[in-house]
Amino acid sequence: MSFHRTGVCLAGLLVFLALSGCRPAREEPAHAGAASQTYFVVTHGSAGNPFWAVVVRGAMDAGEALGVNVQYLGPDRFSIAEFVSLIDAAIAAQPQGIAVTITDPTAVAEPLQRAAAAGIPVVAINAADPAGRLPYLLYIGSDEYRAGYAGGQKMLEAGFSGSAVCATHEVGNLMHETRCRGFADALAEQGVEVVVLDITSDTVTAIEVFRSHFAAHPETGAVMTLGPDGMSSWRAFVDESGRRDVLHATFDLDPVTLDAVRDGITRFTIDQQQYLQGFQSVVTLYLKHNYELVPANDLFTGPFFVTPDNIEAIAALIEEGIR
Amino acid sequence: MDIPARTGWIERVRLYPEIGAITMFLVIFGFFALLAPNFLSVSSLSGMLNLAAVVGTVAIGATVLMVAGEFDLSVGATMGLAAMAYIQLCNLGVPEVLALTATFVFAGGIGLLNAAIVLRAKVSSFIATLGTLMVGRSLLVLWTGGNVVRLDEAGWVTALIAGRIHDGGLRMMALWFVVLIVVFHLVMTRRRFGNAVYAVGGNPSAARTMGVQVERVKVAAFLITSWLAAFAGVMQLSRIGSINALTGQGFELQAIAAAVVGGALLTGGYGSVLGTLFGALVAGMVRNGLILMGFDSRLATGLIGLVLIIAVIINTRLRGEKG
Repeated sequence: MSFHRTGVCLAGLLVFLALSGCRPAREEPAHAGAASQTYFVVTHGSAGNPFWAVVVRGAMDAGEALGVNVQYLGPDRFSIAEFVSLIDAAIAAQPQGIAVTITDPTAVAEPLQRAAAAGIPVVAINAADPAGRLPYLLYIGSDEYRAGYAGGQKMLEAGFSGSAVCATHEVGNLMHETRCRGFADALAEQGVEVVVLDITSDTVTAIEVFRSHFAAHPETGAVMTLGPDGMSSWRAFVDESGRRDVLHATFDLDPVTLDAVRDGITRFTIDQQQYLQGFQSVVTLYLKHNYELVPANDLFTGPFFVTPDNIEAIAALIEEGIR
Repeated sequence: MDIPARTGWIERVRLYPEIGAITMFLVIFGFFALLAPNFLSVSSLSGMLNLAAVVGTVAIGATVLMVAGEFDLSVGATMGLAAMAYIQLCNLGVPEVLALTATFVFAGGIGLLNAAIVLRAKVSSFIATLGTLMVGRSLLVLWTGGNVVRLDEAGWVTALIAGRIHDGGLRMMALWFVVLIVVFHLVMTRRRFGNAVYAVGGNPSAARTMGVQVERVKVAAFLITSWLAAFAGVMQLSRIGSINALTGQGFELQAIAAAVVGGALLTGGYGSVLGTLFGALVAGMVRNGLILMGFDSRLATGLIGLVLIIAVIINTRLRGEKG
């Protein structure tokens, strides 16, 4: 009786899973034996995060195009410990290659040495080792410091008065801290102070944090958010408070950001074309494994500025989840 | 509850589980009122209520369920799934009221599933709902594809749930939260159902001999919890206009924290909906107050943790006075 019901629930769950987009069909592999090749993409980001979903799509599309298996691993919540154990899991599977975010260079050093010892090629994606000592083939991603710095310069060009805010929804994430540091350094050159604001990953809390900050510092003239979470909340804050006078820029692309750039609420967004990070990492590892081909330089996927001038050209791709 | 004629004030105080939360609230409120500029402004006070509304609505359910002696960790996923269901139905053109009704039916299903696993399969509710949390979150990732999903058109129901009440920033969600607190406070203190919930959580076998339908009461508590979580999800959606796969993440523990600050015991049979109101208010108050005082906003989460511990110590001391 009780287990019968549980069984029905489980069966329903399986049907749901089967309907929700697992696509087992594959095209003919491009390389003999490719179908038995597996490549892992391991990041600190959950596949549920809008940003990482695009990386996953890029990696999966590359896997499908090449006829190889691609596995994505990422912790549900931001956790370095869990992330490192996922790298261990990937190494244990003895794949033909692993793409890893160097979210914390110290934490990933030991697993990467082990991968190197086991002869598994590794590429770094999204976040690189600042010291450049870790054993990976090359880095495929944006330069976060330069992205923040260039973003700051572009905001200064646009012009604003008062202080500025760098709003982070993942306190402690090295990538976010680096963006904020680049942003703050660019603004400091013109004597503009930058406050780092913890808006939390909860969107409603973020709105109220913005409200409190603007109540305490109404003279704030510019705000930088670091991704879709911050963007949605900033949009809601501006719609509610009418503070359209504040210069705003953000990172990454999603439908909400697209609308905000179109509506003039957001001056520009800094895209790191992360689909490339997923797609190119699989292609690079594939070429290394099958043909010993390795590019000589890192591959920078960003920063790419999306402004009202060029947004229409990529709008459809945002809806498809490719940009 | 009858108060014996001749009792000292300590005994009287002990009859109210919410006394610790109210004390904590008054102390922190007084502190910020004196030291944080603009803290007593309409905008700031509205912000605190708005902040408390979403997590507080979830926490009312958590309180009722904890008094009944059970937990629901799946509420964070329920929030996201319910909001997603509501968006999908509305975007398909289903009238809002129907969509909202269907969303509640759907959320009720989650509550019944939790209750079935706990009561029929005899899995502890902590584990059972940890499982449904993970399953639910994973389904939401697949369902949204990891993307930001927008409500195409905000209608009168979303305005009724989270629309603006006045220019100071107070939203309808705050009003709904207060209404729900009053309703559930009365149900828990003045109705037979409330008595039954306390009896079931305090001493199930005694409750059973007194003729209380233990299982029915627990099923009802699970249902209430899921419905309130679903309402909180739609509330958050109504405020922001979009969700993503991580919407509601972490709310399960924030809700339990609010309930515990409010006086609820993890062991069941003891707790207060009124206390939960203050428990939910305290967290938002600390976050807003710190920013208004010009402190680094990244301190807030840690300070809320300290408040949680201090509140529980106060609660324990108050109960410990019992002779």
